[in-house]
Amino acid sequence: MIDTAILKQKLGDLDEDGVIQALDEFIAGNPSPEETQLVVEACQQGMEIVGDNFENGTYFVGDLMYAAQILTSSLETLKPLMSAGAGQASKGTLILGTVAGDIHDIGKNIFKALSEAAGFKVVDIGIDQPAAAFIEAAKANDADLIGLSGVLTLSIASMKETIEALQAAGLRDKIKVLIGGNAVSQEASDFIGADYWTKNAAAAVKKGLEYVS
Amino acid sequence: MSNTAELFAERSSVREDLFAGKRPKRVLVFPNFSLEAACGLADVSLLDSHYDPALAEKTYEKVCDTFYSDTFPMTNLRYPPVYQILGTKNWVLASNGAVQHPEIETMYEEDYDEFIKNPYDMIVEKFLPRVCRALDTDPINRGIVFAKALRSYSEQVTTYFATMGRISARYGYSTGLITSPMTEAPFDFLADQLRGFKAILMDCRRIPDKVEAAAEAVYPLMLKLAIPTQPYPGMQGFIPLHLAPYMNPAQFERLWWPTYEKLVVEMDNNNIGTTFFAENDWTRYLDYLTRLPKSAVAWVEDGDMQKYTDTFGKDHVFGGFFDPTITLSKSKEECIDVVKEMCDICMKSGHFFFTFNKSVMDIASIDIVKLQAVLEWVRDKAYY
Ligand code: B12
Repeated sequence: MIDTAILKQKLGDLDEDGVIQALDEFIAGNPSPEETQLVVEACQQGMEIVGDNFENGTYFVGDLMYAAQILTSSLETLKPLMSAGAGQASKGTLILGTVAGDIHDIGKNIFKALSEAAGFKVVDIGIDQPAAAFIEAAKANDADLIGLSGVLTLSIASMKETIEALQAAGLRDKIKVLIGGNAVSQEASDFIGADYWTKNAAAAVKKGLEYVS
Repeated sequence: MSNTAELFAERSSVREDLFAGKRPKRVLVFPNFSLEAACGLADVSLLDSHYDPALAEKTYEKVCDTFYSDTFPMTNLRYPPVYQILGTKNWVLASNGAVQHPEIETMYEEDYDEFIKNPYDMIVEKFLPRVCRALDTDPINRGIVFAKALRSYSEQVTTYFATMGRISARYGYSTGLITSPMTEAPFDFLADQLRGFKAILMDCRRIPDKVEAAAEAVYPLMLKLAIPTQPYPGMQGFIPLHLAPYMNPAQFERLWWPTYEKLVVEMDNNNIGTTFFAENDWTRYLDYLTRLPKSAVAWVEDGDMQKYTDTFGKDHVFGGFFDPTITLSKSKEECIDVVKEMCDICMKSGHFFFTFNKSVMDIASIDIVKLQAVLEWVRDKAYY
């Protein structure tokens, strides 16, 4: 069995080769689904280290993207070894997308990777998504949270429309709305009527956990 | 002397003092609107204005009539007819006429070694056909397409600058902040046009040696881009800076900075100043920027204005910070308070000009009346 503390640290240190090597050795030992689950959790905890380092200014956006890449490919490697239905219970369901008119998705994907690592079920509806798409996904998945991403100034208007549509659909009171991306600010958030705004994905994950606890 | 001539003389003296490193009489007002925003304001089709120079001229004038400015208040860098002739994948015309820049990968990871050996040939022979559908053909037709595109480009540029000249003469605008060709930091060119935002940041981790060599290899081409074929006095090139705020300090110092510094210094040696747009927040790199020749002018998106004033602004011209979209949520008085506070800090340097933190992209993202008030406040009150 692999030392999960070391694996976690390797991911936290963005040591891609180290992570790949550790996982290869782990897989060669024909691990059980339960053992695999522990390793998945170690990877996710490694992302917490990354998130903390980003928050305290040691890591930058490129580092965060690299970490998300390492995490995604690690989970891809481990997936075949996990039994169906195994894994921790989801902490809550998050509908996430980039709002209408905006095709930027790097920030959204980082927030997605960190949220999944923290145990959320994330339904990613993609880029340039109209209000109706968020509502449909929220209904179909019984969402706890909605995350709106947008970096263009015009995304502010799209975010406002999305929240108004949620209200009209009678969903606003049941769902907390988090907004993020370069375009958001306190003023924008007041104007849009979001519950929480941030340009820091790691901080948003903590807030999300607060909302569902 | 006519009113226009007086305006021109007054504005030009402010601009000249600023660029000569002297404390000008007042803060130069340089707002910046995109063609999208201008069309929204004039209520004309963006798509049509790409193809109809007379319509574009009226559109620009609407901006000039609405907002106070000391210089021509727009910068147009994109020419859709050229992209259509070339069939570009990196510049795509949306149905509403907006020029979109989707993320593309023109150069693959396996191309690095050849690119480092011969960047020019690789760009011409391999990358251009990859990114321009119409160039992906036999050499003869490729030559014809290229000639058509070049012809169209020079027509567009000439028309645009002639329009700008006519309008500037009518409104008595002084010369702006940018007067000579645009180029890119070598690393940013690799990122924006060749590898893509995501891929280059992964390359910095996985194959830093190749990235470093590629930036060096492309540097002479970026310098060539910046030097006009016929030099003239007062050349001031434009460099939009891109990737550095997303990199960590070690990557920045090794992979991003050296070729950029070399470019700016070499431009300065050729009597070309640079106006760079510091996208995002560059505060943590201020020590580096402060080392640049005095001819480097900063247009700053975001950051600590006090630090800019105390370091870079001591010897260099700078402006920016002001977010015009606050006019949607704040009252007129609050907006003016924001500008006033900014001027109080930045004017201490004696080298400050007024501009927006980025061009207004969409007219719906600002309040016209409040923004008018802000610009007029700067014109009337921001005296040194
Ligand atoms: C990379 C980039 C691109 C790439 C996008 C690649 C991609 N797949 O996303 C490409 C080259 C394709 C691109 C295209 C364009 N871009 Co662009 N782009 C950028 C750039 C440089 C970085 C954006 C980014 O990814 N940042 C890094 C991420 C990690 O930061 P972030 O998004 O803020 O995310 C963080 C947090 O905000 C948070 N977060 C993000 N989303 C969410 C969501 C939730 C729910 C939460 C809680 C948190 C959260 O988590 C992240 C990590 O902490 C910005 C510059 C800038 N200052 O933002 C310009 C910028 C956004 N682009 C701009 C423009 C104009 C465009 C184009 C319109 C250009 C054109 N003419 O075609 C096109 C877009 C077309 C369209 N309709 O969208 C302008 C917008 C100006 C404006 N006034 O709106 C900017 C600001 C550049 C500038 N300074 O002028 N762009």
